[in-house]
Amino acid sequence: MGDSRKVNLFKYDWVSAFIFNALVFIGIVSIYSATFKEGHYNLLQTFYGKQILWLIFSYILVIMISFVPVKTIKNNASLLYLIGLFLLILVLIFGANINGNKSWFRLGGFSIQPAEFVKLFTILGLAKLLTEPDFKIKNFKNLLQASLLILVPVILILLQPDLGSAIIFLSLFLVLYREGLSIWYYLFAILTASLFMLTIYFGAQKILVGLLAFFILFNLWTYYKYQKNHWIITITILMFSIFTVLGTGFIYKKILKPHQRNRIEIVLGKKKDDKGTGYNLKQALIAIGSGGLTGKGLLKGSQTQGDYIPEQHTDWILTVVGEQWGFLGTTVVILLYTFLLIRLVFLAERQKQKFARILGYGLISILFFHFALNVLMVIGLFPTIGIPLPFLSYGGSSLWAFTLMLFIFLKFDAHRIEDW
Amino acid sequence: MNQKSWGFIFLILTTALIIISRLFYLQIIDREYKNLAMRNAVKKEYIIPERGYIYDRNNNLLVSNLPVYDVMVIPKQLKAFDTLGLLKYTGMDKPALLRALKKAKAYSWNKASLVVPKLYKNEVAFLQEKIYQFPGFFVQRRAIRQYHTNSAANVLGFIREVNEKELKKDPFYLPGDLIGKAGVEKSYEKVLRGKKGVRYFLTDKFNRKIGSYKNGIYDTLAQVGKDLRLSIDIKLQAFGDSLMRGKRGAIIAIEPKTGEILALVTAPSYPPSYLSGRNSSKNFNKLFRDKKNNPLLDRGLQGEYPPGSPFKMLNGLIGLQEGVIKPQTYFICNHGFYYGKHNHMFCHCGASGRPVHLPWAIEKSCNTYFAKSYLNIINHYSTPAEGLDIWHNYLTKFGLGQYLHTDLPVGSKGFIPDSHFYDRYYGKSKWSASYTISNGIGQGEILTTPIQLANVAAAIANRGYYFTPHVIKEIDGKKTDIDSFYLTPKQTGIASQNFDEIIKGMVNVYQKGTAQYSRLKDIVLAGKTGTSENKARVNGKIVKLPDHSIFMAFGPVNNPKIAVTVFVENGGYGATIATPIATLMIEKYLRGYITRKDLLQRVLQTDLSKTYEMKQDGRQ
Repeated sequence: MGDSRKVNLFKYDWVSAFIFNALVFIGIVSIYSATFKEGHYNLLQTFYGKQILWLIFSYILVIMISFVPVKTIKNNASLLYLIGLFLLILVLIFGANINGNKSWFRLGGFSIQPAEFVKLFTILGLAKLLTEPDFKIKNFKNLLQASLLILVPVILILLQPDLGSAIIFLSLFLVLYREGLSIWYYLFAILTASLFMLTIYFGAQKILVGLLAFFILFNLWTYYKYQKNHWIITITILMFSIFTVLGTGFIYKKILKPHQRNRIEIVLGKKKDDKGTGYNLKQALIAIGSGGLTGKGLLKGSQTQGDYIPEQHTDWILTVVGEQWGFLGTTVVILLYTFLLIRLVFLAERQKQKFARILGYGLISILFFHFALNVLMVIGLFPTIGIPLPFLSYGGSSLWAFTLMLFIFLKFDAHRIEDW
Repeated sequence: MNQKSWGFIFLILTTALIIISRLFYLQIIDREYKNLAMRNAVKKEYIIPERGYIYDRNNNLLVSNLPVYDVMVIPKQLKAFDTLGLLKYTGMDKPALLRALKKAKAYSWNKASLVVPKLYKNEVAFLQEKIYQFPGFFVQRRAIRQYHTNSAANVLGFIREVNEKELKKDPFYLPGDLIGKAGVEKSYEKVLRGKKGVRYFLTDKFNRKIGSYKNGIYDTLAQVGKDLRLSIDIKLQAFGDSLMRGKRGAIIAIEPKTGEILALVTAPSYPPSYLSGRNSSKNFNKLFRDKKNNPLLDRGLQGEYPPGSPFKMLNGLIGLQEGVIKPQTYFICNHGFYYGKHNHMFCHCGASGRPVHLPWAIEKSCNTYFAKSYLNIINHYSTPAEGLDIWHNYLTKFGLGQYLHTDLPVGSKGFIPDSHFYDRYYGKSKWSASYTISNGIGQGEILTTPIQLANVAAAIANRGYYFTPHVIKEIDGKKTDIDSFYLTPKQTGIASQNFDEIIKGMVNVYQKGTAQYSRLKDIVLAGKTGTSENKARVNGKIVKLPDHSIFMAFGPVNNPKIAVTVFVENGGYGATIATPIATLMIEKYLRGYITRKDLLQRVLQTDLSKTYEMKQDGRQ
């Protein structure tokens, strides 16, 4: 139905584009408020001025994407994935050391975080792999290939180390669910994670006793009721659980760092540390909680204007919304995300091409994890990890990466009926 | 749509629901965070009002406020600076500066600490010009008391930073606030201090102000403290100071018609400015440690002395009121009399066996007459205990043996014995009137303070009533806020005609008696000299010291304007030093100048410091 090279901006899904713009706008106003200082400053000396500049670049990127044929993107997906891995290796060698993390390239006055872009490249690589003609997700070898494709960047990012970004990459396993992987894998993962948390909360002893009691009662009950035996499967699950519980102690004590342990214990309510590790969260909760129904108004938040929350313009940007516009403001942001994600599910499902659909689900997974983990962290339901809220948080790398992800998918969507 | 896409939608919606529920809880249900945010960011700042001024009865300004400048430092803002320059401008030495900086850093990195206190305007002027060269330092203005007199330190008192106890007692005060610690500064603290203003600020996490809270709708203005007008005549007070130089004791002058204290001199004293300014703490300690002279003791209000002969007036009055003596009553005095088998009371009135009557007895201070009057009073009742308690009751009505409750924060009760006292001493009913004969002549167990005696003089001048002595005249230009306690007359229970003979006798004291050499031309005065024995421990032995010199007077007799009591420790006979001082005070007050220059010279030149050297304890 037309040339895929044609500029076709107006065919882009306008609902998604509208929500994108709304979120970015809310973000800039929030950044303005979080970093406001009395006095006269050059626009580009301010955070919100710079964010506007990054936004302008983002629009330029969107226009540039519209000139690139979708085919070119698809054909170069593997190359881009490899470039991504290469960048992750380079940053380990040449990256600037910021607070002990080698996550950033420093070029003149600018810093670029390659991990943000590698998200896109990994989605592309995954789409490429999963659309190989003889690829079958249920084939163990193929599943292993897909897993490795996701895990290699995860490992490279863990070396920086950047736990937050690494966790985000794990979201790409959700794409495999859509592409046919059994839900049992995910239930299994949830079980493991739950056991991990329960063990930290109650301690290994109580959990082991509980598991054993459950195992015996379950088997006695099934035997009594159905005259059936589940020994083999239940023993397997039991063994695995015991392994997990015992492994928890090791991972928790030896692999996690003290501040990470603190953050987990604070969320679990086992520890109070409002002056140390828990300071940020406590102040964030005060900011959001004191916002009330309608908030205190622009530039009237005592927490925001008093600079009580470190990194408020980046990872903790939702606290600005919460304090200044209250429950109404935060709900609007949450609903915008929810609509965007559901809209994207809808768009992904209408793709004829598997490649485009995988691209869509990759975007949905990453965006969902980013959004969910950031917000849950800010409201104290998830341990503090350093990940930004897409479109709202200050930062060029993040904004550009998400703009690229979103609009590349929207471009594929715009060209969905074309046979490429 | 693919079935698995619903899994995604379910996950997204569930997450959104969890998040929104949590937000609803945090933002709508839990109100605690609002308080926490307030506690974080909204800080109160108090505006300290200017303290009220103090004037004397003729509207001479006595106390005002003087701006002084504290050099402060915020350690966080410190940068390398010209240390020598700062030392030069502040007059500090280097170790002191380093100590101050260390202390400031230990206290807080972000909050201001004091480096140099109370620099005067001229001292700080140069530093203020150059302060920009010393980042982290700034100059803060505050006020101390400025005194326009060198007298009346005991009346005016002083102010000081509040202590823990005062902070707990009154929520008005915050650490660092000033509070009256003595004198009218203390007793009229609530009037003088005014009302603090409050300003609310939003602060950032470093406690720096970032703006007013809600545009200041909760802010209040400070109210300046009210001015006091005292009844003290500062010229008279200063004159009294000069008369008391080289002596220990007190002068009290009261206006009988109102109870207003005209002068409240205590000696030795110190200029009030001594306890204001940069060295106030050091100076206070110096005064506090000087147990020998005890300059912080207000001898007029707190000093307890045997009153001696002036007390005889009271026995005369009680005797007349009780009807046990009459103006025409004569007692025989033969160089004293025997009140018991071997107990003789000596008298030097010189009557030598002649009968004497009341005015003459006062004029010559006849011990016999008043001792016999006293015995008659006590023995008028069925038991000595009953009689003594009746006598005690009269004296209580004169304000003796109890706190007078002047409007100054210090005082002493003095002592008037009652039956319980002798019951305890001798055993119940094991004593008779003659055991207590010293009470008849104001010796023995009796103790009074100079202000109590001055009040007795005022009551005699008023012929039967007095107003509790006080130093307040007006608050904020009005009498309305003065405690009505000071404006209500107190009756002594002695009929006014009973004062006739007493006053006649007191006039005679001036005309031909013990005070005749201090007589004033044209002004008729009434007075009574007193000489009270005292002993002290010197080198471990009890030694009799020169008598206390006492004088009680008022005048002019037909329209009393001033009642005076003078107490000079170890001054000798009443007539020697107390009488001249009292009449000089009266003359100064009534005439405004002194006619008897040679008398004045003699008083000014009297120096008793040699006598005091013998005593080891400054008290009495």
